[in-house]
Amino acid sequence: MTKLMTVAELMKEKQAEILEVWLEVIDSETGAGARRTDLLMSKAELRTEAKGLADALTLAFAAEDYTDLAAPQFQPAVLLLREISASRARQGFNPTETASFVMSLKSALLQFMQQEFKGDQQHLNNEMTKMNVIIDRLAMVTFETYAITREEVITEQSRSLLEMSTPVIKLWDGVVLMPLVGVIDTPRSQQIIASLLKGIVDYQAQVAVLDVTGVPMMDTKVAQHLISAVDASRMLGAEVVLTGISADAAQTLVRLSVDLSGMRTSGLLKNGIKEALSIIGMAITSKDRAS
Amino acid sequence: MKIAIMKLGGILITALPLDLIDEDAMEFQGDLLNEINAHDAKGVIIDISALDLVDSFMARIINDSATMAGLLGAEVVVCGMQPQIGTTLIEMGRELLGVETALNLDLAMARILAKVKAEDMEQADDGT
Amino acid sequence: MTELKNTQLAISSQTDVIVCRQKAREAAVTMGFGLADQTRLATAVSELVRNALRHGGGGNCLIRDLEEKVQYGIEILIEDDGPGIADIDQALEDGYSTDKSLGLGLPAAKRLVHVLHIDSQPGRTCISIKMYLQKKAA
Repeated sequence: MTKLMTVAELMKEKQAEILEVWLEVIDSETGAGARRTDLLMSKAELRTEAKGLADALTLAFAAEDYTDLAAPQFQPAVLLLREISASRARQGFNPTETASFVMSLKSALLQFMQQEFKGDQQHLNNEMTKMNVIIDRLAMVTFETYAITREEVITEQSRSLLEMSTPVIKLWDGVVLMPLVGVIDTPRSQQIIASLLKGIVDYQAQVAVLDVTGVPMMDTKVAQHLISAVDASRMLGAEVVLTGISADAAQTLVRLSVDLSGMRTSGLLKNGIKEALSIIGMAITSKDRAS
Repeated sequence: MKIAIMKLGGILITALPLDLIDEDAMEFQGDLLNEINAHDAKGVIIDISALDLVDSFMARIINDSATMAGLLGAEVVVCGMQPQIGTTLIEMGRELLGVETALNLDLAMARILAKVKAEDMEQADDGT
Repeated sequence: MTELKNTQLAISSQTDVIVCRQKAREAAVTMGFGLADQTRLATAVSELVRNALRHGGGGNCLIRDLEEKVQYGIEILIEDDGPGIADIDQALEDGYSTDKSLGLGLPAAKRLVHVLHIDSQPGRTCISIKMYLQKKAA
């Protein structure tokens, strides 16, 4: 009996064919995902990535024990896989789509191995076990990288959201409006106070309208942050009108004995704007009455 | 270092320079009170736009000056505070700086004039 | 990450209060702290250096890099060889002071920085303050 090929030799010899099958499997296995893949990246890009990884893996599989990811031969393949997984995560692929990239190599290789090693069941079993182990490990690398990258993306996004979500809008000469949307925690409250004060000074606004219509929950902590914002604004010499306090919030605040009596507050933004304008000696009147 | 205290009408205007040492700050307090008496000033505007921080000592100097000026019959308005100083002062303690503030010199002047006018009218009412 | 040079400054005159807080602000700028944190740090240093000068008869101020397991930041040590602080907890309470002049400085400084640690005995007081930089995502 002639000596059977190893997986590495098989990959080397039939690389082009394996690559085609692999790409087909990626296409069929992911189903709807494949169509998404088409949207997110071109076929050519996918091919380049797959080709690169196949090359690196062919080298890696040449190691004596090719189930050891820490082996130096595996480093280029692992690096490349990390790179690919990270870019998938950033491009918006979901975890299944990302993992299936390397997982589908398993079924592609399997087809060739079954065909090539069909004479020797023992050899086929051995190689299949090893191949399973290594592809699973590679899949784990993929997933780990994916998770880390997603986390980075989320951190970046929440930071930019934090900055975006505290706009200061000039309502009139000397009046600014800051609509607050979302949960107010301590880091965000610092951001809010900093933006508000900067806005007040930039626009030289005597009055700032702080609208909390978009703040889902009002409790002692949030109220304290708001009081700090008002105090800091007053420190600079600007008055703050707090608007958008819901009926629920008003009840909660009183039940929690939060004292907002030192602040100018109103339920509707409309009334707050009216009050803000009256502080700077302006008023909105109807055209008819004015004439 | 001598800090200029300017007189405009019955109002004194002064600006605190960056990085004033404690001794000079104390001296400024004395000078300001003397000037108030000398000119019978009704109002004082202290511009702090040059300051990049206000620590508890500086806050105290400003507060005390305002209280002392009040004893001499002058209103004090501080103006031009940089935004990050507002944040720092609130974090250090709300009670730290209890003086009246305005965003800029224009608004400070308007506030002082309004107060002086109100007081004049009160006095006029008393007179009749 | 920007490396910070260790800076050792003497505290012996009122001008040193200014110098120390300026250097602290410069260090905070170098490290990439935002304007609000720069001001917090410089203000805290101003309070502590003035205390060291008034109550401790002078000493020195060391500004250095802080690299802990997960966080980067800045550490400033303010030392004096004065009588020391008898009751540290009490000294950190608002409005407490052994003389009339201060009493706000120490508690105020504590609120401005992330960590304030006091090590005090008669003849040597060392106050360490730390500010952490939010770790940037790679």
